[in-house]
Amino acid sequence: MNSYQDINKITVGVADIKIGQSPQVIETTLGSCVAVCLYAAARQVGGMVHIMMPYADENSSKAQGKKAKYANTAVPELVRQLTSHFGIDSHHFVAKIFGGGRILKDFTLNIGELNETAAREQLKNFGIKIVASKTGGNKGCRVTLFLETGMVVCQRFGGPSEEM
Amino acid sequence: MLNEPKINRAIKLVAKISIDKASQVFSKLIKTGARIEMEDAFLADITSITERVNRENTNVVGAFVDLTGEVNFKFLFHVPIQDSMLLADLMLRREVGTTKEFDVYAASAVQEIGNILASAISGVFSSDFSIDLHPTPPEVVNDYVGTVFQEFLVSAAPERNDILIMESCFHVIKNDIRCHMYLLPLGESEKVLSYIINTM
Repeated sequence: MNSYQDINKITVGVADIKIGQSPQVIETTLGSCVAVCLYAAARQVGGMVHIMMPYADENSSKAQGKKAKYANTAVPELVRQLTSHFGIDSHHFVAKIFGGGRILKDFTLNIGELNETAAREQLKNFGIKIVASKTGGNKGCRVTLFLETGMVVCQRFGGPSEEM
Repeated sequence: MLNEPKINRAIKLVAKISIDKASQVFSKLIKTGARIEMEDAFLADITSITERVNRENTNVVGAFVDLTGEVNFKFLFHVPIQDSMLLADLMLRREVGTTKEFDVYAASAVQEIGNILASAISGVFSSDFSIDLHPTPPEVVNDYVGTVFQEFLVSAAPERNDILIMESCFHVIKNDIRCHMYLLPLGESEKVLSYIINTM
């Protein structure tokens, strides 16, 4: 594959959703947060959401203010944005999940694991199949979704890149 | 949340005084003139600031400290990995450039500076405002800058959607080391900060 530095690269922050289409590339960096990537191969479109916390009361002001922050509002919002923007039904998408690590030893709550569980639960509710994942660990990872192919490159800090 | 501008003003004030005190300690430690200067302080939305941070291709070393007592804070200080090696050389009084890869000395250098800054903050609360505060030993993390920063947000401020960013610079002889520090009040601490700014 050619270098993607000259292609339009979209960066995702914490509690953020970005969608796009080929040949765009969507990227984020993770720790205990979880990234859910959705991709529809037939149309070469997809998106990424960067989830910080597992649950919020869906009707609370905090969930309404930042839907992408909480897994139980983030995944439905990503699906909604993709289906409404591209006019594709959710069953055309496949998912890949990343992150959910435990970076700080002193942080007793394993928020990464909780985020991953909550994200998986939401994807199951939509009937979206998870075709790849790389979660856990104690180092951050950089995740890049290539919308030309749906491939995700995951690079753990200090480790090699993996294509998934 | 209590009056946000007042809280942030109080935090900036505490940070500024702490940095001044930390400068003195740091200078004595490396036996040469050094100045830590706060260059900028601004309130940022967590999504937009982390989007900016995630675009940086920087690996950093961060020191995470809990400040506990009559008030509670979370504190983070981080520098690029290359600069952590420079700091190690300065603190060990070796020729700059001696440390060529991130090692236990570079990690210790960041841990020590995290200690110095956190102790300075505790000192400001105790001597200037008679508020008891103690730092825990720093936890040092070497990782992507995006990872380090978001872990601070998750551990310190999961319910917040914005954060006060403080960008500082260590001026040491001919070297300028750009670093970042963040100080977040937890729980009832905001009332104390509001009280501090009201009485000034």
